[in-house]
Parts: sequence; structure tokens; C-alpha cells
Amino acid sequence: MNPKTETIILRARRIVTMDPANPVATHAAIRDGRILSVGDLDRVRRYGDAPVDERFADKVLMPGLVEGHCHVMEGGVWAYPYVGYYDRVDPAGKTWPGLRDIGGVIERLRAAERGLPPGKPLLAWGFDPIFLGARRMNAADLDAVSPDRPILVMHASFHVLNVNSGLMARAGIGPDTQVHGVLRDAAGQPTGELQEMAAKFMALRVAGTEFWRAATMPGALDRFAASAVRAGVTTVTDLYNELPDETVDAYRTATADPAFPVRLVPAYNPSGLAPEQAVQRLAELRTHNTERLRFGLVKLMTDGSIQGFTARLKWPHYFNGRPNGLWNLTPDMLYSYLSAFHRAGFQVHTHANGDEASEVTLEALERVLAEAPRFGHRHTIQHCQMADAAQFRKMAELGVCANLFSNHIYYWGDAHYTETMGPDRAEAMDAVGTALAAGVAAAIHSDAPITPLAPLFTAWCAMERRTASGRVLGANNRISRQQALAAITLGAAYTLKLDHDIGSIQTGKQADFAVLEDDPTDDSLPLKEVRVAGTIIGGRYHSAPATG
Amino acid sequence: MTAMPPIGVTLIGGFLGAGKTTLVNHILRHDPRRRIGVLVNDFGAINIDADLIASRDGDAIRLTNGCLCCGIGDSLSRALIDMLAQPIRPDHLLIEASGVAEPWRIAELICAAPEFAPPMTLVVVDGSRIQTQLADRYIGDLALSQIESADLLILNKMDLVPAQGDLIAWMRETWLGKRFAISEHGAIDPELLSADHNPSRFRAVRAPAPAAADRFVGLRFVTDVPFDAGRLHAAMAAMPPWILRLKGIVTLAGEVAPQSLQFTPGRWSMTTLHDRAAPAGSRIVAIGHRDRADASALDRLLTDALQTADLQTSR
Ligand SMILES: [Zn+2]
Repeated sequence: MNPKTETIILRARRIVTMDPANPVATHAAIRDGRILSVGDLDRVRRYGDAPVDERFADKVLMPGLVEGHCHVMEGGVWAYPYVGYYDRVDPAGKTWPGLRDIGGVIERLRAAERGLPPGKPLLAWGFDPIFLGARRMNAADLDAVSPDRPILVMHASFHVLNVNSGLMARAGIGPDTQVHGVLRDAAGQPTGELQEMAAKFMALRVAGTEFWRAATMPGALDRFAASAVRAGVTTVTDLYNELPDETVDAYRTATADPAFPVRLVPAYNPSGLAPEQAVQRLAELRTHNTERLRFGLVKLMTDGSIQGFTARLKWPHYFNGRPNGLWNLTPDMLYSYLSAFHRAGFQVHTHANGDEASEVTLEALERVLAEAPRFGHRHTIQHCQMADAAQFRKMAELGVCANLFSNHIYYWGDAHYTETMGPDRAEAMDAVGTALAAGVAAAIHSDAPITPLAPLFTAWCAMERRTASGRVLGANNRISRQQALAAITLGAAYTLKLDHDIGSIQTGKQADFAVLEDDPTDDSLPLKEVRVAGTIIGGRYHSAPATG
Repeated sequence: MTAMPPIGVTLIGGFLGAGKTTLVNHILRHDPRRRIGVLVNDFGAINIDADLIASRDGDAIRLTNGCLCCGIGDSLSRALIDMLAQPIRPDHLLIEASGVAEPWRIAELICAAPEFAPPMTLVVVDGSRIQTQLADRYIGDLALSQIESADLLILNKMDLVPAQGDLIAWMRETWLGKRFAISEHGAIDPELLSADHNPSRFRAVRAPAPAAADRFVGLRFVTDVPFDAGRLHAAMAAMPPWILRLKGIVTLAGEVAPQSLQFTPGRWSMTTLHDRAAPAGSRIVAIGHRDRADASALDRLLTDALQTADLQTSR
């Protein structure tokens, strides 16, 4: 035993280890940032006496949560005011109450407007028109905030914008504008709602494109990490990034600081290079790996999103008759990138929302695996929202993992039921139960900032399958509390090939914990109500800012 | 900003591997304009001949393939905004669209900026694969949409097609009025790209996917009687709102050359087809919403535009 290393014993009300061989404990000894021993005080003292840290004596510890699909952009959006329907907590712990009518949106925008220098466009995000009744927000509403200063409000889907008259005047949007996606009222006047690429382009010319660079702005990484701490998360992904040198440098600098509270796992977007060169680039990035920053994942995008009607669906396609969605890669190109990364030994995550996209992905995976069989590839389908039992059986056959978008059930489940998919397929979406029954290694995710970063809430969604209106969507696909907790710890770690190092509390693993006020295994408490006090990463405590 | 002459735009669409980059290089080699900017939005490394661009004071910018989840901030919009903010702008812009892009979406975006002239959309098709692509259950609808978007369809890799004549005849018959160019290695007559070839501001409505076919209705209007030009103009202006797209080859009274007629809501055009032998009479097809379609109303509207309409109404 190295006498220089320091051992510390954490005492907790309860430690939920997620290690089935040793499921609960009260003490954990930590040395060199790793877990030395887990059990009662007697057991953990067998390595020698050590000081007992009593700060967590009334807390419950569980493994640091793992968010297997989110984006650094979560830290970017909070540079702007949130005007959504649901309560949302920012990285600093401030609760932004959900806005239930247009008046509330206007009031919040007014407050934000007062802080801006003259002439600077006012940008806001998260607006959700679905719940505000039949009337849609229009330019006149926003003119009440300011008729002159350009105002641009992004919807929660990030697909649609609302703008005010000042912005429309500067953008040249008027009654004569013949551009697709400019919504009009009965009198032919543009309403200020802009829906398609061309219409949004006109608005962005005036409002500027800074919002879309927000993830690379100073402060974004720290806000992202702070969001993780307040959710009990110690390992985050940045699941689609071209990883230019400046970004790599920023990630290396941030994660080299022991005070930075998360392990970061970026997934490389290879589209800027031909497959062979992209493989080389990722191999090169991997040489920078540390325990806090791990390159090696690659992500391919096949289709768009269901709520944006850009996901690729199989027959009978969209419930409301909208045309099928868009490909982001043709099946041929998917195969060529997949094949190159697979043969080079990398793990490939593929975004596939619609069932046609997951089908194309499975066909490409099957072909690649027949040509170049490989054990333990753990290729993963991300979102995988419409996969049915047959697709999950195929995934199990091929050793493919699924990371399912359980938060969709809550946030868009009602819209899926009535508009995008219809009752049958809406009830069968994000079928974690079916996936697990088929033997697929499964995780669940938030895709933050698309939905809030909060794995305990995501786990509640997968357990309860309740929509925002309270409808239960496919009760037979509910999973148990234990399965839900596994999906946000070891399950997610498995899809990142980090389950040997994180995801459970056992000897040799990283000393990463979620510090909770409540016991997540208490059946009387919904998982979404479990309060997070902070996180411990590599043995170091980070307290979450008080929520207020 | 309106004092400057508009920036011409050539938009090049088509699947990866169809020969878009070869075509871009070919245009760069033969286009007489001085300052050409190139935006490449496709996957893979940029393969544009850098010397060709450098020798013309231009720039080649590769756009990243963004996440469709947040498609609002797509890289093409950003690149165009940044480009227009520069003090020195290109005289002409070549955009190599992504292989999965529907070029009409990009054309619309270009039309939304007054600094740009309406784009000319070239779609490059791999002649040896197009029929397979159109029949493919995953990308067939995209292949169709790309062809529909083209002002000029470039049939490339024709050296690999055994029955060239059959393919060309089939394409011409299937896409009446579409302009074609045949090319073997991206080489086309630069004349074809000149401005007087009527780039259109039209938006090609997505062809109904098979599953959605029951929501749309296709109508056909065939006549041997020539149209009266003035009345046809009036009919186009009075198209009912349920019509999504109407197109065809029409014969006007007193004109030998046939006309290509194109209509989408809010916009229409008629172009003389000098290079085609006059067909007998006129053929028009329309696509509209099935639930609101009124075939007899459309029939009446078009019949009233015929040269003989007076005779019929005064009967
Ligand atoms: Zn994502």
C-alpha cells in the first residue's frame, strides 16, 4: 500500500450501488479518485483506518448518472431567456416558471428587453404553441414588447420562429413576400410566424446567427457542466460535433481542470471528411484521451425529427398525411461511413428517429457485420423511437444497443397520439420494455437542450409513460424502477463502453456519485421528485446551486 | 445594397457520386465571370480544384453537415448570411448541394435574398443508376424530388449506359418539358448555363409519395385545339387554390413552337421550346388536394382558354 495516498471514507444514509452483488451499503472508502471498498464501516476500514467524511450522512448516494445523449448546446441556450410552457431550471439553479399564456411570454420578454443595449436583437427560446389554445402568437403580440427592436422567439422544437414587426420590416417581409413558410392571416398579412428554411433565413439575416454559435461561446461549457451537477450527472456526452481544433482545445483545457465537474464524451461528426480520412482524424483525437475526456465515438445522422415531420417513417407514414421526412445520409453513404469506422474498430452511434431510419440502419449494420464480424462493437441506435419488437430482436441478434428518447413520451406524446403517429404507434414508441425483453442493452436520454437534462425525470418517463396531459402511452412498455435506474447509470455507461469504469459503485471504479436528498429506491416517491444535492466526481464534491 | 448587380447563382444537386464536383470544376474552367464563390455542402473532403478558384479571386467554403434536430440554424443559411456581410462579394456563386438535399428548398432560400438572382438549378443524374434509384424504396422519393427541382437535368455517366437512346427517350417522356443535357465526364456546353435559359423561381411541389397518393389527385387535360395566349394567361391567374402544381406542353394559336407551361400556387411561367418538334395539341397534368379537388371546374377553366372557347360558349 502506498503510504502517500490518502483514503477517505464517505458515510451516507444509504448507498444504492447498482451492483447487484452488493446492492446497498452505508460507507464507501475512496482512494486516488477511485472506489476502494463499499459496505459498512467495518468492512471499508479493513484497508486501514481513514477519516470519515460526514457531509453526506443524511444523503443517499448512487452512482453518478450518465447522460448518454445530450449536447454542449445545453450550456449555450441559457445565454438567452427561456419562454416555454414547462417549468425549467437553468444551470445556476434558477427556476424559470412555465408560461401558460401569451401574456406571460410577453411579460418575460419585456423584462429581458430592458437589459439589452439599444438596437441589439432580442432572442428567446423554448416557446411551445401547442398548449396555448387555438390562437397563435403573432407579430402584434411581440410588438407590445418592442415594435422596433428585432425580436425572434424560437419554438421548443427549434423548427419554427416568431418575429415582431420591427424584424419583419428590416427583413423585407410584407404582404407581397412570396416566400414559402411565411404564415399569413385571412387578410394576407404575414403573422410573424416563420416555418421553413427560406423564411427563417430572412429572419436570421436581421437577428444574426449568434444563437447557433452559442455552444462555442465563452461560458457555455461551464453552464453545461453546471446543468449536469444539478441533475446528478457526472458523465455527459456531446453527441454530434465536428470537433474542430478550437473545440478540441477548449474541451481539453476545461477537462484538465480538476474543478470541472463532469467527464465528457464527445461523438465525432465525420461529415467533413471522406470516410478513410475521418477514421484517421478520430484515431488522432483518441490520442488526447484522459479519464475526464474520451474521444472515440462517432455519430452518423440518418433522418430528422418526428415532431418536425422530418423523420423517415415506414408505412403508414405520418398519421396526419404529411409527406415522409428527409434523409440526412443516403443508405449508401451510411454504409460507407459505418463500414470504415467499424473496420477500424470504432463504436458507431447512429441517429434514427423514424422506423424507416432504424430499418436502414439495421440493414447497414447487418451488412457490415457479415462482411467484417466483430465482437463487442456495441454500435448504438440513438433515439430509435419507433423501433418495433422485430427491430429490437434484430438489434439483439446483431449486438446493437438502443438509447431511447423516453422524454418524448411526456413532451410530445400527446402530439404523437393525435398528429404524427396515431394511437397505435404512439403507444408503442420509445419501447424500453420491449427492447429489454428482446435482450437489447438499452439506455434512455434527454437530448438536452431539446428537453431538460435530468436523468431522474427521464427514468420517471420510462417508468410511467405519462404524457403532459396525463395520458398513459402504452402501459405495457413501462419498466420497473430498478430497470429505469439501471438505464441512467450502467445502461448508459454500457452504450459508451464505459461500464467497466463508471455506472456502479464497486471496488476499482471511479468515485463518481449522485448525491441525493431522497432515496430513489423508495417506491412511494416518483423518481422525478427525487431531489439532487450535487455530485461527487473522482472523490471531489460539487454541490448543486440551490434551486429557487 | 440594391445598387449592386445581383449575384448569379448556380445550384448543383444530385446524389453523391453522380458527378457534381466534376461539373463544378468544369464550370469553373469555362465560366468567363471573374469572381466565383463556391459553397460545398456535401459529405466528404472538398474536391474542388483550388487552383481554379484561386485564379479567379474566389473562395471555396465547405459547409458542415448539421443536425436536422435543430435544422433551423443550418449551415447553408449561416454561410450565405456571412458571405453577404463581407465587403467583397462574388459575382457568381456555385453551390454544390448535399446529395440528400432537395434543391428546391435551397432555391427558395436563394430567392429570399434580394442580393441574389434567381438560381439556375442543375441536377446531375448518374445515368447508369437513375432507374434503380427511382425505384428504391428508401430514396426513390428523393430521386424524384431532385429531378422535379431541376431547371436543367444533366444525364451523366452515359458512357456506362448500354441503351442510351432508350433511357433518354424514357426520361423525356416521363418529364415532359424538362431540359436535358447529356454528359460523359461532367462536360457540358457552357452555353447551357447562360442567363437567358430562364432559371425559374418555381418551387417544385414534392411529388406525392405512394402512401400519400390517396390524399392527392392527379388530373390530365389533353386537347388538339390550340390555346389562346391571352385567355391562358387569365386562366393561370385564376387557378383555384387546391391545385398544388400544374405543368405541361401546350400549343398556342398562331405559334409553331410548343410552350412549356409551369404553375405552382402564386407563380407560373410559359417558356417557348424551340428545340422540340411540335407535338399534336396540348397535354397538361395537375396535382391537387383530393379532398378539395373539383375536376370539372379545372376542366371548365382550361376549356375557356382554348381558341374555340367563343364558339362553345356562344353555341
Ligand atoms: Zn441529439
